[in-house]
Amino acid sequence: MDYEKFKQLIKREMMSRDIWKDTYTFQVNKNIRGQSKSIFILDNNKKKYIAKYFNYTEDIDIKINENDWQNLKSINDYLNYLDENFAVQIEEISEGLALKKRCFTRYVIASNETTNVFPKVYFNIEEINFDCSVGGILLEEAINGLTLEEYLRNLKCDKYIKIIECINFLKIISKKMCEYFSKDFVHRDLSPDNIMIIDDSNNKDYKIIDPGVVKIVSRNSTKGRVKFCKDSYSSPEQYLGYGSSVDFTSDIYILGIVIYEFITGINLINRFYKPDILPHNEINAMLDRTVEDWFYEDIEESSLIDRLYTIIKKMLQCRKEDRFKTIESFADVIETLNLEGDDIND
Amino acid sequence: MTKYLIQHGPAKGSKIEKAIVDNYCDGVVFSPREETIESIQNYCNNNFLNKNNTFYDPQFYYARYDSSLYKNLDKNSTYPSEIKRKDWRTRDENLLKYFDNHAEESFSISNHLITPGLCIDSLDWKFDHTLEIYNFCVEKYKKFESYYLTLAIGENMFHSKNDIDELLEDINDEIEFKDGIYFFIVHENAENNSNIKNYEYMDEETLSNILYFLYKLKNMNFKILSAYNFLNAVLFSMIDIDYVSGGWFNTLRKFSKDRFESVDTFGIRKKRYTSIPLLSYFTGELADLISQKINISFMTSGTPYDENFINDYDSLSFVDYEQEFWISMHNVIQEINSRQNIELKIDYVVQIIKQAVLYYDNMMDNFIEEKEISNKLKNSSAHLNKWLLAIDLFKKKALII
Repeated sequence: MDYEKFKQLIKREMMSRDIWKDTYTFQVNKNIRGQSKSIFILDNNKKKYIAKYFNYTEDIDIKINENDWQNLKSINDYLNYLDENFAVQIEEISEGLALKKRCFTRYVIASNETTNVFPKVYFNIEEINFDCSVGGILLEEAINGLTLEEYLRNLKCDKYIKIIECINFLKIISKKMCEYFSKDFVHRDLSPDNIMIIDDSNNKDYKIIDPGVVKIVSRNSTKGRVKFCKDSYSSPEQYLGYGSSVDFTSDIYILGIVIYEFITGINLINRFYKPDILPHNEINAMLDRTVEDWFYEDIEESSLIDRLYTIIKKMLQCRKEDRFKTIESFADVIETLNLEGDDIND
Repeated sequence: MTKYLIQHGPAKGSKIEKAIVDNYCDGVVFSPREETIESIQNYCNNNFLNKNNTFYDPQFYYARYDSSLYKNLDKNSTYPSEIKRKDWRTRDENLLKYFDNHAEESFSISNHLITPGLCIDSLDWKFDHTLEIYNFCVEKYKKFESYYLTLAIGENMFHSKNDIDELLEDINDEIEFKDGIYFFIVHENAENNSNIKNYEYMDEETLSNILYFLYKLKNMNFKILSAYNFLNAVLFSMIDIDYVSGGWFNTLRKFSKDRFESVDTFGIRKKRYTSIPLLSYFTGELADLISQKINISFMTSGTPYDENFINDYDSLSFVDYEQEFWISMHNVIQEINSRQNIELKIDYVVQIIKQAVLYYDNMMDNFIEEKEISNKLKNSSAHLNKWLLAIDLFKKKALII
């Protein structure tokens, strides 16, 4: 991406919205996480913002020259152009692009309508022609803190302590999920590098960043799929590319993968990965065998731990209908995970 | 007499304008899923569209599907996301607002009101509510010249004539003001359940029940607009329904359920010529192979694109083929329209189907040894015998002698 152009674009948009201060400085974010390209912006009080560009057209493998791009101001222009010039299935591309734009829009709405779940969004543009592509841009607050991934990498402690911390994490995250699902939003790309830890003295909080904006991925030469997430943190339906059948149960599945990793350090999808098979089926088959063994390694069984493992098993069911029926029922079950009464020390 | 309407979709470019100005399509059915109402209203401020040749399908039936499929639909803040049975039963305030909104939007571009309806895959509350909503709209929004009851019916419903008779009876009993029907079939999937890759292919029993259903509705004095059609529009024109519509992409010519579930094809799009003599949507590639042995001018439909198609099918763009589809449909529908009564229309259609079968037989005779080509020809013509059988069954069911 041409970051210089992006800086100019963001500056122009900020000025037009009267939120521009001369004291801003820009920093290109070389360490790209998630599915957007971004730059950090700092004001003189060291308040940090982040501007993101979600490129809707980048994974459509069609070369369009720069001159022609000048006239493609919207998704519709882009589709018209493809229809006139390329032998591609426009209908499917149209559905895929609409879904991408929708994910972006829902994220902005969810950010604005929830409190403390996502970073605050200052402004957004749903559809813009930029740098030979069509996409959406937004400016949001940058969260200072570690990602869950960074945190877990350095977490050296007793497994029971990890479980306690994981339960606290689950309680906070499940409430946030309830909040954003109620706004008709599915994150689709929950992963440890998309969860930020805000450690305010003794009160740990988490914020979720970088929503999954559909990715159109070709799995072979004749068929394509729409995908939202990283393979290592995906539900079966996402892994297979059934983008439009993704719902809240998909986020629950991914969260199951995340918390299992939180406790054991093992990413189950990577562990069971083999070419041309669905690792989720393998995980499912091993839930009462090796997956369970790894979970209980180095720890004594207790009623709390057994209950937690049962919840993880339910989260990791391949069939969506076998996971939790509603997000509220999931959050309610998580609330029952209490240290009091645990028989670990009996 | 049947008129041809364009089914609006993504990437409209200048397709609609050209087809209407050149006089081979008679109007448009707009969709708020593809474009916001503001954008549609702007587009309607031109001289080739007016409130009589413009229809507006609210695509309310998407409200039963996952919201990730809505595209622009819920830009309208009252769009009833993931509607439930109780919403209409309790006269949910948001739903009523949505109806007001839809009537207002429709009236801004059209004299016709297509009333919101749900996909009907069995005789249950979705059907009952669809009829009730029509009655409600007719009663409440009085300023329209005509009203169209949406009937988006699952293909499986047409497997049994008994179910169809029950549907007809309920429509007859429940709908007092019999004005218009906006009808389309919700197919299980775009290509069909068999191994035959042919958009038109359908078993004869189902197809005859569809024809019977529409014929009976027509006899109840409904005006009928059949939406999302490929070449099967020929059969609907044969029973003299008022409007048929089809769009520029395959998904605008066959409404299928698999669109709602997974997007799994980003395959190569093939250039296809609409051949009226063959009553087929014929790939340019196959025509090219055929032309190496026999002269293919017999398969042309009398359009300005024919010469280029014969000389080099690849010289025509996808957009050209989209227009060619409409011109070909226009030509054959005009022929059918010129027959004075349904018996003559049926005779004519049977005659052109039989002629198409003969053309295919002749091609297959020439390619007996080339298995790949003859298999493709078999696939491409698979619907024709089904059509003949279906017409025969339909005539018996409808007692057309």
